[in-house]
Amino acid sequence: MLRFILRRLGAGLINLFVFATVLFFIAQILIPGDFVSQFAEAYQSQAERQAALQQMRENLGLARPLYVQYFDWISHLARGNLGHSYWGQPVTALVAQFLPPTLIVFLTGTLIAFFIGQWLGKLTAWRMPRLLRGSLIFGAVSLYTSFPPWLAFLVVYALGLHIGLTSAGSGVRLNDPYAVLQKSWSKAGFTLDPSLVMLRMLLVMILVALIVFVLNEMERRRARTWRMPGWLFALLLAAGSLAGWFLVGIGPMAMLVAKAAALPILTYTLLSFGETMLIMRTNMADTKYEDYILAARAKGLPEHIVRDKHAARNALLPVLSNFVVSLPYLLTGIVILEQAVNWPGMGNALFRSMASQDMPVVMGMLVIVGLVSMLARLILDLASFVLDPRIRTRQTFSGGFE
Amino acid sequence: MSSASAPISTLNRWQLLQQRIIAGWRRFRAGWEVFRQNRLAMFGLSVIFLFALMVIALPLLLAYVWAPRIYDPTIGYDFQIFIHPSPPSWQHLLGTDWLGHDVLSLLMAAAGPSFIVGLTAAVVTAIAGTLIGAFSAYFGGRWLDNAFTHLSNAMLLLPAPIMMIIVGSAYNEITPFQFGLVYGLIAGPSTAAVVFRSYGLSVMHKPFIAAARVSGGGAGHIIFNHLIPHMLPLASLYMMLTVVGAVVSDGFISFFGFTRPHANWGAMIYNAFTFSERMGIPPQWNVLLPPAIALSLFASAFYFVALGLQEVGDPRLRER
Repeated sequence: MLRFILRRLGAGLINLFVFATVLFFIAQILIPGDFVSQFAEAYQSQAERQAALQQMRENLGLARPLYVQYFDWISHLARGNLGHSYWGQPVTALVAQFLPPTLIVFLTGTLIAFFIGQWLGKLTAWRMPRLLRGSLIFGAVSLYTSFPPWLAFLVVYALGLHIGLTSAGSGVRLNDPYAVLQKSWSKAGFTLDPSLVMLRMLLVMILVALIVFVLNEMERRRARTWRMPGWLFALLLAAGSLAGWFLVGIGPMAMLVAKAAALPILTYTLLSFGETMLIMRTNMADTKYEDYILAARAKGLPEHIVRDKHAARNALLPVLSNFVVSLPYLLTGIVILEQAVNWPGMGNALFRSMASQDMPVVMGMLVIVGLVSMLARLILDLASFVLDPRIRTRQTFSGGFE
Repeated sequence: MSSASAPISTLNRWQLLQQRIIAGWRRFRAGWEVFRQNRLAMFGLSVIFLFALMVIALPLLLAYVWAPRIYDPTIGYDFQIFIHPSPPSWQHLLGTDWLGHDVLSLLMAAAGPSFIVGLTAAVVTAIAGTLIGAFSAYFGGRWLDNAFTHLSNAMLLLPAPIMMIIVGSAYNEITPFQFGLVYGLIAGPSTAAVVFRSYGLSVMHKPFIAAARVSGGGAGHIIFNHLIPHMLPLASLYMMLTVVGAVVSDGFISFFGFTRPHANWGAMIYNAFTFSERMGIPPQWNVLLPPAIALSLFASAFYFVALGLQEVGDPRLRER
């Protein structure tokens, strides 16, 4: 177990290094112009402009050769320092501000999407009226392939205007959503920083999930056949987090955040459950005709038990390992989506610094996005390591891919 | 010539080719029969045909039916209508947008670039992914494989859509072909290579690879004559899936408000939203709906075709 974790961590670090290197050179070479060129119009004469821009480059360290900049950046990165934005703030502070909102939508949305996806995939692979199956698949694919801003607009239009869930912003307004959130924040009389509240919410949720997991394991030790149904897990998680937020003392603020995050989470879930559903359906179709399914039916087990306990459980593992590959894409989806639903997360910060060519921030945000998806992958690898006895004995280099 | 019954070793090169074509055609017919049973896949295919028809129809319509000074997607303006955007009418079947362009002709003009973006990205991704995956699978466990695996695991952290949005916003005059090319070069070594490698590894265990090895086939021979042909069905499936990401990220660049030289559904959606925000009114449905539906339909059509292809390649998925 420990060897497996260490090996995965080592491979992950190498990947991260290669990723950072590729990222740096793409960002510095492929993107034309630099930060200072946007100030060029402020100077009248050619000579004055040249001197001023050169001075600015010297100050920002942009005049150095590229490889010096690279070694400087990567050695700071290795020490956990993402550098400074050209406007002066440390990038780590920006990450601390913008990461919690993204994580909140990403974690809850992915969890919900995974549950819905595998449930629908399970159902559509089993016996079902043809028309219903067709329309379910059609709906899932249309949602999965829809244009994110358009879907966000539809969700806002359909729900936001009627239920009043518009506090997260809507449409294409390109103002600063963090400021919008803070405004509604101070109107309600809260003093704590929104992203700090979100961070605490996340920690509470993770803690509750761990507690539920441990309780489940204890129950399984006691009664061998016990398996927690998905809905019970969701219910316990929701109730536990809610109670936890009020216990920690961020209850009312958490409610405001939850209200603002509802639309982004909903849009993200709609956008991303389709893939899980289709993969689950494929794998169920694989296991459907196995001998042990025939045996379970011959024993006289009811159809839904054969489906849920015998077929679905075996079909779920490849879904997990496929999920590992698509995680970065899901995270990217959310980064893109944030722009459309005006949610103050990584994506929003990323694209706003992109517009002003603030490269340290852009690279810092992308590195963090990569780091998060790598960590999520590590966790999933560990989960499938625990769940699948075959991986435990095989221990291949590439984890879940073979 | 009755070469069908003759043993294969006695055939000359030309007869062998003939046999191959016949066998390929039979396989295609069998696959097509399966594909045709899948209604969603057929729906996807007909939607793709519809969009292809739009590409062909626009120049013909502009040449013979629609006057270019009114209907041209970039310079057209109808002076007989005083208030733009205008609702659908007989002159403009989908109305006009606030710049006075005919929505229908804009919609048709955007189909061509979308095809170019999607298909270029798909082909480049498939080629890069197949090559890397095949070499990686053949040299499984050795340094080349390790290098490729590390590269693709690292590229996996850098998903193509977001990278393309960044590249595309920096070079907003990028042509659809270049866009697809760069997309493929970023997407190919990451997800595609990972998937193709694991598939190639399972092919490497098949007996015909061992047979080819025993009869003295070198690395190049086995990779190009045995491994890659067996990866082609998966590659064609993967190509269809790539189109979705490429087209959506291409549309998204315009959504940031960068003016692009070619007509683009994302830009149309952006224009509809911007106008409604500026005027403080809800968006014009006849301007907003067509490009939004077209973009989603275009992407999902390729996805449906991919589902159908998957069913052709994997007999276990068929209804029994």
